Amino acid sequence: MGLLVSCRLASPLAGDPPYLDALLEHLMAAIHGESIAMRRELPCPPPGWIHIPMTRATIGGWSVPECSAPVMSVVRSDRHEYYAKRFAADETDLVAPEQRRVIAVGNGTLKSYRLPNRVRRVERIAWICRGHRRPILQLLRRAKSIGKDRSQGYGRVAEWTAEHVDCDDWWFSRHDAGSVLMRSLPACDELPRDLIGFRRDYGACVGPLWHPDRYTELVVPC
Amino acid sequence: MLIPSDRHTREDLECWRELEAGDRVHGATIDRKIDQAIDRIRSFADEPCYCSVSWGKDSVVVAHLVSIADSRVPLGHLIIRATTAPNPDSKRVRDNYLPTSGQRYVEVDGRATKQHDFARLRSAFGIGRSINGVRAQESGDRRMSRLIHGVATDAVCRPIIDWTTDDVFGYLARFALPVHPAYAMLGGGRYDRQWIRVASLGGERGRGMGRAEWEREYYGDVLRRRA
Repeated sequence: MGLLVSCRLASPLAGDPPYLDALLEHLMAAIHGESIAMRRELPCPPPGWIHIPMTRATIGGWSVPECSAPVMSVVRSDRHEYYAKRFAADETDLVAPEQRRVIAVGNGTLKSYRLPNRVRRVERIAWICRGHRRPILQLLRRAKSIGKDRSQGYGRVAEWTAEHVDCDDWWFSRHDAGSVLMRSLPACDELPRDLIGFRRDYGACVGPLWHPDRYTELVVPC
Repeated sequence: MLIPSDRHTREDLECWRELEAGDRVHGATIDRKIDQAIDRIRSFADEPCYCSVSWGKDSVVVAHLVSIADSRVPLGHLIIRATTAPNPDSKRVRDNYLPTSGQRYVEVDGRATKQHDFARLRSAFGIGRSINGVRAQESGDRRMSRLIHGVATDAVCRPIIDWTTDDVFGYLARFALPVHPAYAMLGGGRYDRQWIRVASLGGERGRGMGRAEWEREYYGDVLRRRA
């Protein structure tokens, strides 16, 4: 028996939606004060060190949560918004000639930039996992928003829901053409022979996903 | 002729098909610029020189122009590793282009500083004079360089310095030359192919204009391997 966890968004999503297990680890770490202690240059604790109410299984030597990657409903728009910074030099003619200075805008403090920020309008994001419904929902209700730039109003969560479903598609989904990969997993011999919908990558499949100690050869959904 | 890659998404390929259709139309209108570039190469290649390539779009155009103007001019490629990682797809452009051109080719695997590595490339040919695909449209520095130095100096010739990005893609489409897969990694239309850099990945240069975000989206695995 699987659990279909979904969130309804009230504002556009910036960046990518999170893995549910990584989000739960983040929330649990914040409760226990571990999110401050964990840094990139420090050794990473073993997978599962931060307990989450979700089952795990071992594949390719990694203990991976039984949870799919985020699945988005129809994307209504997919665009870039930009962070832009520019030294305003439009009215420099008003400065007295002897007071004028050359200012570098190609580097340094006053460097001009225009950074893209991917923003998508999506109504609902869902994950299929195996875990305990009530504690998962209790934890998730602490997540008021998801994605990047949450402080600017992106990714506001209107509602978290979780319901039991008769489905075990957290890693692989059966299809006529083969087994469709549903989340990032280690590239190993234990993967199904008929695996489809993936490409090779290098990164982490177990949280914290940003820590270099977690990096390994992967297959990721595409 | 776009080189396919599993990094392309369906939306990317749809975008690319539309852009390529426009390139084919534009490519038929640049005869004057092509003739001018060939004349520039012929006048510079009177004395021994080589053509420096990175296997980006401009490099492939210049390599092809050189093969038309004077096929004896060899090609040289420096793999820059000092502060950046080489783009893994660049080798595929090389492998697609060279068998059809028959030009002599030298590749130098860089290790030290960029300046030192370029000196090694020059010494590999025993020649200090080179032709490259620098264009004025790419940056303010290059526009200034064009105004000060013109198309060529004693040491360097830039035959397509006054070409636009549309001219370059038009040329590639017209002659069905291999196109680096990175130029179709467009985020389904979110990225402008004009500003995509393919020579290398990572490093600090040009990060502020969205290059870092693009590289993380499409070549995150390469960057993470360097971490």
